[in-house]
Amino acid sequence: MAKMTRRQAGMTFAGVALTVGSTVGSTAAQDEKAKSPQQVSADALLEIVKLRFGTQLDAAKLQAVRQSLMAGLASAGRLRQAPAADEPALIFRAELP
Amino acid sequence: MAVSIDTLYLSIAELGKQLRERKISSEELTRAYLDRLEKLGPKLNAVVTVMREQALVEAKQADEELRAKRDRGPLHGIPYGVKDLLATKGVPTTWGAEPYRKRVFDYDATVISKLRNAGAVLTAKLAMVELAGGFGYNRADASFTGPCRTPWNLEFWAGGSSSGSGAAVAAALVPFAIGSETSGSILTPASYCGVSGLRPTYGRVSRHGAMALSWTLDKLGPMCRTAEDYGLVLAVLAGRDPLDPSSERRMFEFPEANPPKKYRIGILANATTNVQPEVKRNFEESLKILANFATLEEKVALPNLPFSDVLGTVLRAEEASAFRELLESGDLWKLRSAQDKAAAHATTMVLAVDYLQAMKVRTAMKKAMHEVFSKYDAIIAPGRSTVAYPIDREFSKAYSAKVSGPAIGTLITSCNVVGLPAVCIPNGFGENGLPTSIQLNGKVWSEARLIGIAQAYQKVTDWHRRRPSVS
Repeated sequence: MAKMTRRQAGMTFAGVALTVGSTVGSTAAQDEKAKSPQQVSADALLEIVKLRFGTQLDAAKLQAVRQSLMAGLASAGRLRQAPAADEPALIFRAELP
Repeated sequence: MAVSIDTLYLSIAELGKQLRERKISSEELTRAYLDRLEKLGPKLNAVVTVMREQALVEAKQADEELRAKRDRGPLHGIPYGVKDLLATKGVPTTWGAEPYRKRVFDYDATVISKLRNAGAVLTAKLAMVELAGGFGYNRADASFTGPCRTPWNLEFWAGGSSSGSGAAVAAALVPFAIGSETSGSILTPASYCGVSGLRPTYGRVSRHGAMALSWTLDKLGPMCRTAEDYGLVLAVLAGRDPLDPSSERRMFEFPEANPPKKYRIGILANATTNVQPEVKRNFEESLKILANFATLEEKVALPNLPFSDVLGTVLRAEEASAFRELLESGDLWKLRSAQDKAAAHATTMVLAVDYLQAMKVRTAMKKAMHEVFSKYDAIIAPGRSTVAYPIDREFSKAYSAKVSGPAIGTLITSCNVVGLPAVCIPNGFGENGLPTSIQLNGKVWSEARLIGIAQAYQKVTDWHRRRPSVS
């Protein structure tokens, strides 16, 4: 078998995770059928925002948050397709500054 | 002795000459600038705190040292101001934001310490867009000090987020100021106020003591009257600081020892597509001047990569972390432009893997951008696609979408994403008597080369010598 690059491996494992995710919660899945995967993800993240900050956010703000979450997820989707290095532009140094 | 307005509009180099020839003292100069800061600062909404007493102590000390021939260099005895996101011991540092209005740090930012060691005299903390634009804003009034006005026309904005730094230099409230840029916050006010601004390479200047909006995008840089001036200031600011791990020990030689006989400048593809007519006209005139000492190559394209997706993802994750307490406490809603920040809490939901993916793409972008920039001394475009925005309108409604200048926006975003330096210099005027500008972006660590080009341009033009009539 040809050796997989780290990027290919990452894509494969992500695919597995998506498959497992799709088999649970079938009732909820039926309700959510009309929504795109991005909308479902945005709504899931929105629930966390509500749990953490709900007392600060009225309906209009929650709607703005949801739109922003959708935009962020769209961005993330495009970045998954973009040319990328193996390591992020972050450097950890063991010694003290 | 009364200090003339002509003197207050001199460059750092010219003021330094007057100080050393004893034609004027630092104390006289400082008093004159302090008077203007107090008189015109409120009119422009450009000032947060005037530091009269401390400034006069520093000025008198500079005079004593210069008399004793203990010369600390070109900035000795020269007054200046800083964007109010730099920590100053014992003086409020507000970040332009209501929740931090009374906050006082017990230490100085490294930039302040370096300028003090160079003998410069700190006169004022200058107005800024709250949180340097963190979580977005869509109006000039996004600061607890109110909308900062460009001295060229008080109905228009000074630009952001280093608003007060741009306005104060343009109106001769200070001879130079320090600003910061995460993405456009030095170049924009430099352009709208008709001053010379420099965004250094990421890591050139220590950010210790500066408000963090985005640790991997924030840069501090000078805003001055001339290109030579920002070379003099950067020479003091540049260098490794153990207190900022991102700062680098890189040589900054100014002026450049061996500049090329003829510069090689690439003109950004579609640089004048969808810009105001005067911006286009002035840009084309500037190119004619540059052609006298540079080889110009047209239609230089940037790599077709998702720069704004990287910028957005990185900025959202880092600002959410930097201002987590503000988001959790609910103090966010005390901000002046809270209505523009309704979606702020979405920033807390950037997934770690998406942030790291953005940082992996960013690494690849550095390489792609280097391949383009390594062929040129600079890539040029108009500083902004329009003149300054009116203060009474939301930005999104200020001008037609037909002058959105998409190529210019991509240039600013892409160069900030990969940490490249840029300079901005005035090149004429557009509608409503407002200034226009050009920007020159260069490869990593090429500030001295960019400054050399800007100096050559300013040698044969006088846009940087023009003065607004504010009084």
